[in-house]
Amino acid sequence: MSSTISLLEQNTRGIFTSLLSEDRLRIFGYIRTLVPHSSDAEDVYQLVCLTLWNKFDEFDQERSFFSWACGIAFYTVCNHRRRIRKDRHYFDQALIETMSQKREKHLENFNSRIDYLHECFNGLNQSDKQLLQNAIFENQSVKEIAKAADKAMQTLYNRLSFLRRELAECISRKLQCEQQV
Amino acid sequence: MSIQDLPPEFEQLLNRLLNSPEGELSDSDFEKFQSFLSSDPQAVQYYFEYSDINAAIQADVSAHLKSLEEIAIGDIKPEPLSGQESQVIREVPAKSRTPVVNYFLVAAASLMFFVAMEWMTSGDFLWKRPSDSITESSLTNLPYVATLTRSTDCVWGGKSLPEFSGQRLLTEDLVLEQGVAEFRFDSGVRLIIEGPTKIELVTSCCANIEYGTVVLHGYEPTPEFSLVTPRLTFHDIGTEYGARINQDGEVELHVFEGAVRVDSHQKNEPFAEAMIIQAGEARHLKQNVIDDIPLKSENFKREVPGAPKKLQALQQELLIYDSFHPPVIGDPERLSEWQNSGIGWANPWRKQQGHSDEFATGDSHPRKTLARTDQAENQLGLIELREGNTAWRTLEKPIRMDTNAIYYLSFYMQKINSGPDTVAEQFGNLSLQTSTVSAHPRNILMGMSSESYATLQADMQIMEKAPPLQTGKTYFFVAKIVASEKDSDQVFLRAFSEAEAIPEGEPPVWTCISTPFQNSNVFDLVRIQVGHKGDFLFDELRIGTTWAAVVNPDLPRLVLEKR
Repeated sequence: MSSTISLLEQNTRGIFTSLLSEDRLRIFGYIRTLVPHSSDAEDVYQLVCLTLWNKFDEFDQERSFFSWACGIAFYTVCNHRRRIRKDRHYFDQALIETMSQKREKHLENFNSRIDYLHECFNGLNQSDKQLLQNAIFENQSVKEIAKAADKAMQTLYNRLSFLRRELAECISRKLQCEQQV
Repeated sequence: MSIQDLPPEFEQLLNRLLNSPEGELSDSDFEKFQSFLSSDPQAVQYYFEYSDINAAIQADVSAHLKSLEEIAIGDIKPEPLSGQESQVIREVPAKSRTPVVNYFLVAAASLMFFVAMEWMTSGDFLWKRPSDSITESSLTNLPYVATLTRSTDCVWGGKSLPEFSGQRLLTEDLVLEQGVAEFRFDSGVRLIIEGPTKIELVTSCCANIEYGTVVLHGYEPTPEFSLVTPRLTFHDIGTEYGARINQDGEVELHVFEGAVRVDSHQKNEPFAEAMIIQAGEARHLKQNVIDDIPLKSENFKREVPGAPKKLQALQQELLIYDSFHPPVIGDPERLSEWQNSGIGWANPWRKQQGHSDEFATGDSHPRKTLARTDQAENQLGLIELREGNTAWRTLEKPIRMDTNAIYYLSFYMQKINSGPDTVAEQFGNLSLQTSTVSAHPRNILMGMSSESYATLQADMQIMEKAPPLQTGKTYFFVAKIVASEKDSDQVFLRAFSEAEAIPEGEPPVWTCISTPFQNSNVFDLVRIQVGHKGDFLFDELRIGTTWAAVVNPDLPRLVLEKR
C-alpha cells in the first residue's frame, strides 16, 4: 500500500515539475512586470511555487497550468503588495489588476517572441552584443563598463536604450511577418 | 507604432527602471512611470516587451528560477514531459549544473553577498567587529508587529511562547493550545484568539491563520486588515467578525458589525469574484460551496474574559512610588524635606550621581498635588525644580534591559514658566540612567523639550512631537519600556492632557514610539532634570510592571496604608 502511495506521489511530483518547467519563465515574466523590484519578484515567485505545489491536488488538469498559476500569482502579488507597499515602490492596485489581465494574454506568444529575440540578438554587431551581455547578462554596472571601455556613462545608457528599441522593433517585425504568413 | 510615438520621458524612465532592477527610481519618477502605464495601453505593451527582452538576456535565468523553486518547495526532481524549455539567450548551457550545485552556488553567492554587505555597511567583518559592552547597534531581523494585551488560562505551544501581557510580538508563528488571548496589532486592530489556534503574525495589517477561532475588531483609521486562511483572505471593512477555520481549510464566518470582503486564493466558482458579507450575516465557506448559516455570536469569545485585577494583586506590580510627600512640613514650607519619601528606593534624592550624600535642591509644595484624583493626606506634596536643578536617586531593583520584561513608568509634570524671550535651556525631563561609566551612555529620557514638545529619547533616537505642550497645564506621562534578552527593545510614551481620560488598559495611540533597538543596559538610577531657564513641577512618580500599576488612582493609597 505504502509503495503505491509513494509511486502516486512521485508521479504527481513529476507532473507538477514538468508543468512548472514548461511555464516557469512565463510565470516569472508575469510576476516580474507586476512587481517592479527584482528581489521582491523572486520572493513572490517562490511563494507562488509553494502555493502551486500545495494546491496542486486542486488543479484541474483539463485547464491551462499557466492560467491557473497566473490566478494564484495575482493574489500572491496583491498580498505581497499589501505587506510591503510602504517600504518600496509598488504599482497601484488598480494598475496591477489591469496589467495582470493584459500580461496573461501578452504571454501567450512568449515562446515565439523569445525565439525571435534570439534571432534579432544574433543580428547585432559584436560590440552591441557585448554591451548588452555585460550590462544585462553579466549584470555589470554601466559605470564599470564605461570605465573599462573609456566611454561616458550617458553614451552607454543611450546605446542600451537604442538597442532595446531595435530589438523590440525587430521582434515586432518578425511577429507581423509570421501573422502575414 | 513605435515607442518613439510616446513621450520621450516614458522611454527614459523605462530604461532607467530596467537598468536598475532593484527599483532605484525616485518616488516622483516612479509615480510618473506609473501614470504613463495607467493612462496609455501602448505604454503597458512596451513595458511588457522591454521587460521580456531584459529578462531573456539575463544569465541563466531558468536555472536561477529552478534553484528558487528548490529552495521554496524542497527536493522535487524535474521530469520534463516535452524535454524542451523556452529558449533564452545565453552562452553557458542551461543544464551544465545540477540543481544541487545550483543550490549551493546560490547559497555561496548569498553568503558572499552577506559578507560583502557586512563589510560595506560596518567597515568590518562580523567575526572581527569590536565588541560593545553597552549595546548592540544592529536591529533584529524580525520586526515587532503587535502586543499581547490580555490573556486568560493560556497554554502556548510551538517555539514562541508569549510570557506576559504587554509583551511585544514579532512576526512569527504562535500556537495557542488552550485559553483566550488578545493581540493589539500596531495598526490598532484587535484580534482575540481562542485555543486551539495556530496563527502567524505577518505585519501590523496582516495575519495568516492555519486553523482556529478568532474574533477581529477593526480599527477605524486602519485601511484594511487581511486575515489569510488556507483558502480565503478576509478584509475587514469597519468590522467586528468571528471566524472558525478548520484544519481542512473550511471556514465559518460570522459578521457582527460592518462588513467583510472575502477573496479566494483560487478563481474557481463560486469564488470567481470577491464577495462582501454584511453585518448580521454568516456563511459556511467550503471548497466549492457557500452556505448561509444562522449568525451565532455566542459561539465566539468576543472579548477576553476576566474581571479587572484587585488592588491587592496590583500591589505586587508596583515597584517604585514617590508622591514627594515630606514627612514633616517645614517652615517655610518650600524647604520641607521631600528627598526621602516613597518606596522602592535605595537612597534619597541627591544632587549628584556619585557617592555624594548632598540632598537634591528644589522647592517642596507639601500641600499641593498635580494628581487629577483626590489624594490622601500622606500623598500630598509635589516638587518644583528650576534653573538647572537635577535630582538623582538609586532604585532598589534596577530596570534591566538584558532580560525579557515590560516596565511602565508614570509621572505628572507641569511647566510653570516659559521664560521671557528664549526657547533655550527650558527643558524638563525624567530619565533612566546607569551608574556604569560609559563613553556613550544610552539612556531613556522623557519629558518636555525647551520648545515644549513632548520628547522621548531611547538609545540613540530622539523623538519630539508637535504641537507643543502648554505652559501652566499638567500632563500625565506614561511610558512603556519593552526589554528583551534576545530580541529588540522598544519604548512607548504617552502624554495625557488634563482633558483626556486615562484608560484602564494600554491605549492604541502613543505620543512617541521609538523604533526597535538593542540595549543591554541595567538602569539603576532615576534622574529628574530641568534646564537652566526652566521651571517645572513634578509629582506622583511610579514604576511598575503593568499599565494598571502605574495608572490606577487608588493603588498608591493602599500601598502607603500598608506601610
